[in-house]
Amino acid sequence: MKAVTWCGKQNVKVERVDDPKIINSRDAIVRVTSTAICGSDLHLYNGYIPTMGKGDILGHEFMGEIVELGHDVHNLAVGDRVVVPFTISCGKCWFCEQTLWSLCDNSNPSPEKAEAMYGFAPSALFGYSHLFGGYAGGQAEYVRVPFADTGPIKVPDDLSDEQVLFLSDIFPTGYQAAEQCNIHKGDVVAIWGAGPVGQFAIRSAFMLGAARVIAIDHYVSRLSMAEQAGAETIDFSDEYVFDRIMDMTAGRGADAVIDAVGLESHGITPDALYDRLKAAAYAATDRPHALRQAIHCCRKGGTVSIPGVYGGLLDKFPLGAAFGKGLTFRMGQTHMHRYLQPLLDRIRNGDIDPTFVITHRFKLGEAPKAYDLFNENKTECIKVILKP
Amino acid sequence: MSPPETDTASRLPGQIHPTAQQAKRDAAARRDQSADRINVGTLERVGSGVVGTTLTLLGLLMLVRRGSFLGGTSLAATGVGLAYRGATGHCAGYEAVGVTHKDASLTSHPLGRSIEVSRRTRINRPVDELYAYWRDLGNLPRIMRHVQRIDTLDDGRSHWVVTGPRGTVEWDAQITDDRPNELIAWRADPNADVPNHGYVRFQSSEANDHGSIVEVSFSYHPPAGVVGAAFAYALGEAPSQQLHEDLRRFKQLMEAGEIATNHGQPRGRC
Repeated sequence: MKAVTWCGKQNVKVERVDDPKIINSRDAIVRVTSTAICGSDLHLYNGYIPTMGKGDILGHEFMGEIVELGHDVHNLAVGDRVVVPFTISCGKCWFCEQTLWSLCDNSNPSPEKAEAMYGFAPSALFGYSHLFGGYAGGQAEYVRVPFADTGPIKVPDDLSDEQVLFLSDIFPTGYQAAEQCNIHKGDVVAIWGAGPVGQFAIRSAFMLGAARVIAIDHYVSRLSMAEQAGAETIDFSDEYVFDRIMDMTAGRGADAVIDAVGLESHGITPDALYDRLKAAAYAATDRPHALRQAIHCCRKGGTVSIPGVYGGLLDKFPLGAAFGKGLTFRMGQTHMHRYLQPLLDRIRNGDIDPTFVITHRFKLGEAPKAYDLFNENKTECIKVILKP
Repeated sequence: MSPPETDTASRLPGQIHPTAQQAKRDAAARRDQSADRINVGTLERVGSGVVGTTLTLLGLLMLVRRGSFLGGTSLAATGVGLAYRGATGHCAGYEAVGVTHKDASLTSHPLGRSIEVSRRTRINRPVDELYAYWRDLGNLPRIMRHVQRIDTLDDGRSHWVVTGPRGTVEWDAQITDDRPNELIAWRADPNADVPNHGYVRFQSSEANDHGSIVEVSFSYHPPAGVVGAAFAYALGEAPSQQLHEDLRRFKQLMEAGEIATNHGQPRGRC
């Protein structure tokens, strides 16, 4: 089959590789009909996530048709159309039982690396480095799905691939980011990063009752996509973000803030340049400029929700501000399995049409071009879909 | 939590099988004499050996290729000293200042050196299931990576075939204590290639909603003695890491019904 492989920093290829096969009895093989490139794939593309191996198959946002099932999968049938969540969960450990799906104890076959770095290992992910299990991803014609009786959700035929594909990651991830804000009537939610996750966080915050949503970015196209959802916007390249938020909230600050940027924050302030220098010298891993600013703009007693991916150590983290203002922090990979059915229902009800975020469609074979475009031209490119 | 009584007995020399030859004892006594002089830790010995050998070679190279007599010989002499320290485990410097770095866990008891390993894990299944799976010894090769095969004989006896750092080793073992849903203790034949004994204990956790606690504790005499253990450690075959991984596989199998793997999946060549 054809698959998109990681061959080093800013080097992906489309190669012919062996077809995947059933290895364990709870596996399924899915013929991929649609897959997408995630903003977090760019962290891999740019070499920020350690333990990628040359030849690893990328991709954690995908859906398709079941073509083969292990003998212990009874809730699915060959021919079913499914969306597969990007986190892999066994469904049986204590964490899965608590619905902390992205903290599954049993899905990572080599958790030693994550244990050495973090103390404990979170769940495995598709196509996201050997730190997170080293499973082959879904930017391919076929993919093996472990614990298939627990993850994939069947989708009705009257919804198109493009309507349901983002249930695999960015819609639930944006939704969990908003849910973590514990939104009350009248709340103002400020969201750093109007990329795909930020866009879904904006719409989810409104669904959950936010009175106002403020989106912060510097790409005009992304800000206008945020405005279409009813958000107010701040372009950080020509406005002081803190001052603007104070203006907009009459000095109160945002009730909750969301960092939908993660470890490759851009930013043009001295601290952001300092992060860049340190990261370039391999003296730091993550560049948390957006997170610092979000903490600064959060009101006293407010909530900081972090769906943006961080991998290593943060420098100059304003813990004093967080402590002084009594902030609550919520973060982590999305507990995907909680959200699949409720959000599928939202799509069906017409509460949201996730296709709004798609700006580009490519063939799977054009993946290198798609990665390059998504990485280099974030003005034009917001979400890329690949068709095998 | 004290180990069962069976745990300590086998370390006494009197417990060694009566047919053990006198020659074996003499050899052990000689080892112990030299063991008394050991005051360098196991890993430090390996490090000394590697660094010492490297320095010796570098020194000789300097001597021969650059004609640097003073530099070359002093480097080589340092190297030889370090290598000797590594090989014998004796450091005159440590002795002079009364220091010992002898590795207690690897050389703790006087006759023969045993390695003791113990680890606990929590498994989200009731104790009766965990006990039943373990008691069926034929299941264990699925979770113990180094165990190739276990044949169950009669009267609680079993035959083990295990991959060691230096090839396959085999032994017969006897279950010495068996308390359903609570504990299984075993002891290998004292004449075994790798004399060993230990127990696995199953406990319901206090709160009962955090699963059961499984504790495995065993000790064994490695075939190549302390240096063999050190090399096994250096090669990533540390017994406590092995036990950690074996227990993880047990947990995965009991909870998820299978052991997570990515072996056999496709990958590119770039």
